[in-house]
Amino acid sequence: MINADRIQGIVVLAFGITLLVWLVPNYVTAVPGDPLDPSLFPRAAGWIIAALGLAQIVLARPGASVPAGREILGFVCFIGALVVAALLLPMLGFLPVACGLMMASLVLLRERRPLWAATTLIGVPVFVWVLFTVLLSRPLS
Amino acid sequence: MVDFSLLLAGFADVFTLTNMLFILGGVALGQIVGAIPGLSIIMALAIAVPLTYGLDTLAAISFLISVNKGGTIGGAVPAILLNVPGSAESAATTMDGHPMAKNGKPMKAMKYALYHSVSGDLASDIVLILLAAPLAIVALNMGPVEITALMILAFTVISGLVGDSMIKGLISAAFGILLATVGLDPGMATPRFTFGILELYDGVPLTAVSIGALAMSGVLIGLLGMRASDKTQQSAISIKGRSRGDSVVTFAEFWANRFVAFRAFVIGTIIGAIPGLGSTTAGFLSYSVNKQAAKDPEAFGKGDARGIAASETANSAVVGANLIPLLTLGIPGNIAAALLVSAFIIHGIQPGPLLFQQQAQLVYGMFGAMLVANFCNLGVGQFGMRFWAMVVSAPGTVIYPAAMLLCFAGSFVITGATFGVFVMIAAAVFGYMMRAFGYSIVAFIVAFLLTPQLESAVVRARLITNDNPAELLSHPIALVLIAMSIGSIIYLGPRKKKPLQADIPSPTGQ
Repeated sequence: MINADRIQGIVVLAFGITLLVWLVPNYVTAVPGDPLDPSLFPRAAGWIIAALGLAQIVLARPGASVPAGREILGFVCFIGALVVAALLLPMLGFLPVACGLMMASLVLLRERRPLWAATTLIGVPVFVWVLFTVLLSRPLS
Repeated sequence: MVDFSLLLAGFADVFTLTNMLFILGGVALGQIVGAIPGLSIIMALAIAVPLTYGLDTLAAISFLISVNKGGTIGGAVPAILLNVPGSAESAATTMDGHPMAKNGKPMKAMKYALYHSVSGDLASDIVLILLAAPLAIVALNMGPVEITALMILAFTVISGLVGDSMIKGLISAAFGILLATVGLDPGMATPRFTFGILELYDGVPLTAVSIGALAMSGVLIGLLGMRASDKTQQSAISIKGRSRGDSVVTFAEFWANRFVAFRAFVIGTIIGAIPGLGSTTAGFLSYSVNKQAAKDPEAFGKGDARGIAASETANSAVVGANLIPLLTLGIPGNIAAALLVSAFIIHGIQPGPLLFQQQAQLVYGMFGAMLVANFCNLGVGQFGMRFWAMVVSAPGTVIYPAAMLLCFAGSFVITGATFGVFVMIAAAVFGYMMRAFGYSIVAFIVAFLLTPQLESAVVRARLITNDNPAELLSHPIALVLIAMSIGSIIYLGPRKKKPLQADIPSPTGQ
């Protein structure tokens, strides 16, 4: 079985190589030899990432753990809820989106106690809205 | 030379109603958040940074410093009542705090924690105030070559000291460097990695990255932990119905631990001044040292006040001392200092030795705020401890979604658009993966923060030396610093590190 640290090393090495052969040449202006060369740090980062990825492949430690499938699924659900909330924010405004996000959290957390559910669903969005919009005068949409 | 008129003016600036209210509010917020298991002070600081956008610089910095100080005290409450540290800093406090609470003295244990925490913090602040200005004067004599070498040393030390693997620490730092290169480059102002997205021309917003990587990733881990477990609260030890003798700490009882507290203060201050180490290390190391120094080490772990004094004094002494590298060299020693840097940057100020020349009154104002915050911490803790004892039982189904929504709103406020939210979400995904696979978020954030400074120092160093490595021979300090960097890589590198707390029993007894 392949060690998890070694797989991460392969990913890091691949990213470093991608950086050096595709991302830096295409998305950074290079002026070789000039002390102000904008590509110096991106290239240096690429070489360091690739070298360290290689070092991690070679020096991988046994027994590195990876998250369980159920945890990854839950993670994807929460991130999905956040992305949807961010997309809907300009259209619906903060309070409806925040209530929706809290509802999604309650469903994912399987909270069934009415008092705590109501606090999360209504109390928390109103508190955050009052804090930013009223007390700190920072608009939220 | 310290200008006493500026010093007095700076201290006087603190005593406005607004600043005092923000210090009080910050201390109370820090103590509450610290008291909630699962929420860390770093999360609170990351979320609090956007709250300071509309404030003047001193009020903003005072507020954040107060949150940080309050958190070290709040973290002791669940450590004592639940045997679960509210924040990692208080982990060592569980070892004697909880047994003392189980022996019928929960309030006394919390008071011991409060008094020793405040005294350690205060003493450390005084060291900072006395040392920072003279050290900054020394640092001002360093040129770009020395600064470049110093930053390389900071990168290697921080990468090696945080996390279990130096390779992973350095990978984290390299990703931080890479992310910091996004946007217009400092030399020629050409776009790098902007992919046609206009918002990226100013670079990736630091605060959104901090909120995502530090706060939201932790909140997500808490939410996923809630899903995996049942929602039954762990029952806290009740503080009601205790006699006065079991609830107060007399001066004689406090003074009896003076030697332990002094040792802990020295350990905490030294560890705080070294970039990369933190309060948790200080707490465990101090506990271990004081236990070994005691005539009756077997008394530790059974509710001995010396154990609480050792842990709380040391972890709080870190708070002031970790600003020493920040104010003298511009290098944040830990994440809390890094978040303070982001607040400085928001207000158009670059931390470092020049701060004493250009913004001396602000620095002295900040010192004044730190001293005032200690007394507020004492006052708020004195009256608030019994309320925080109720906060420890707040359900995660309210706490974590609330923290998530605060991250969401805070990251929107940073850019005034959903761009900040998307950056925060991306940073949260990255931060979660880093936590899950054992990569250091501290090294990542510190590298992200220091790279613009490093890049401009490298450009200037290359111009000064004409790209001739032999020129380095005329910069002996830089050579020493580079040798220390290489030494730190060799010393902290491939070998497996032994955790500092390895010789200390786990709080749960396992």
